[in-house]
Amino acid sequence: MNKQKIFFILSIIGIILLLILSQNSFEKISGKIEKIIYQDGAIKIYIKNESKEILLFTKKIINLKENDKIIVVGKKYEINKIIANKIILQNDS
Amino acid sequence: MILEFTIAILIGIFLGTLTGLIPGIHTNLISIFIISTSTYFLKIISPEILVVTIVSLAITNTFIDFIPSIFLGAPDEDTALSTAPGHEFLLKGRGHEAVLLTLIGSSIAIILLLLIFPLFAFTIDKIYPIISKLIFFILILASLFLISLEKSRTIPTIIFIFAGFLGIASLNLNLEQPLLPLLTGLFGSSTLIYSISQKTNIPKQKTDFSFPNKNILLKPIIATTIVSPICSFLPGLGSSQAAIISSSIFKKNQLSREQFLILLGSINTLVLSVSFLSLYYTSKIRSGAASAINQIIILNSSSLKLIILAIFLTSAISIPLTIKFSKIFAKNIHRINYTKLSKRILIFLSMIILIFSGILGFLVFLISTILGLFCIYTGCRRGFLMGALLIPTILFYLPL
Repeated sequence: MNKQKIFFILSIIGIILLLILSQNSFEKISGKIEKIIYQDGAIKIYIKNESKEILLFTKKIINLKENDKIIVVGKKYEINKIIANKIILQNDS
Repeated sequence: MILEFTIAILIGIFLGTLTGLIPGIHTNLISIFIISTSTYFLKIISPEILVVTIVSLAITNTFIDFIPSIFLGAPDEDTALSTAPGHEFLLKGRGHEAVLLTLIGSSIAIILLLLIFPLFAFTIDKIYPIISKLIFFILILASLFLISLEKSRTIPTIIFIFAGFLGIASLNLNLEQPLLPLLTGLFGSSTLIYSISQKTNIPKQKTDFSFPNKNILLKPIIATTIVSPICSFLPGLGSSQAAIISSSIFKKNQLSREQFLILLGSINTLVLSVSFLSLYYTSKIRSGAASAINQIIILNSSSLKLIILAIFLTSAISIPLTIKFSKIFAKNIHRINYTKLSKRILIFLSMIILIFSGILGFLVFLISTILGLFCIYTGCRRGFLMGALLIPTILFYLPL
């Protein structure tokens, strides 16, 4: 088998492997909401004592307020941002 | 204040030279370090001075970072596209010329900044919503145009799509620095492995250089002026995407290797410079340096003037500095056993990737290298590997 074919097959196998791994790769952070900002069709959520900024791409008003305790599951974006896939409200009440 | 300002510029240039010359060390890493230690620095110096250091560091890096990319085949995310043409120049003894062409581009960018600055200030609010809606179609058209230029379109299309899937997977792996293993593999290590397999010998490098005539300069200037400001204020677009869109402005074979290197240099510097204007006028963060500045101060007109002054002074010092370092590389590279050097750089890059991106990052690096080698062995143009950034960006702008 020539080099082209070997690299072609290895590329396919490698890319499929990475695609599978990426589907199971999430970032998870939790804490109390410090502030919520609605901007440019996205919502930015800041958590107390957490440098990462949470981005939620929706134009809807979300049912969250300051001091709500949340768990965010999402994907890392740029240096210190997380695009939220799921936000779980953890308030005791 | 003048003394503090000068010291800040010099420290920035020193750090920018280090990040530029050492493969894998991105300015963002140093910016993050400065931010994390800023509470200490801000007790001694004003925030504006810290901002000047970051600007100076980032600008110097855009001048210097082509040197390892061209001489060592070790690029970063902004210089990845220069590796292939740079390597060709190196094999013809013209490595120094390749660096100087990118330097001419960077210098042109600084002059263009003077022209773009007032234009940007008055038009940004009006243009931004229009361009952000059109960018999806512009990127698709640029991609289709690039593929349509090829005689045989099957292999370039396969490579472009494969690179796209690789990019999507890598950017979704939650890696600390996803672009580092991705682009180092696609453009850097694949070139190094190919050089090792071919037992490449680097000829003695020429250090004489004649300045290109204005006809050569015209096309890169036009392309940079049109594309860089657009790519500077839209998320997900960087120097590499800007270079691909720019080169698709011209018809087949109309942009020579020399012009492409000038284009890369000018875009690299201008995209970064305009990201500071973007931060001031639109509050949008479009570079690691702009992100660092945003965490230190809220820009006002006087701090913006200070940034512009820092850009010009840094450039004035970085130009002779780049020439000096390039000459040192050019005079010594042929004395070194290039195969041994390539092996050492390969080990160094692997270690850097393991440290900054972990095991998963290393896996991305391996697979990107394999795809890069597939591209080399099929004889396909390496620009198609930029599908790794273009396809995720197209998906980002997909109108839903």
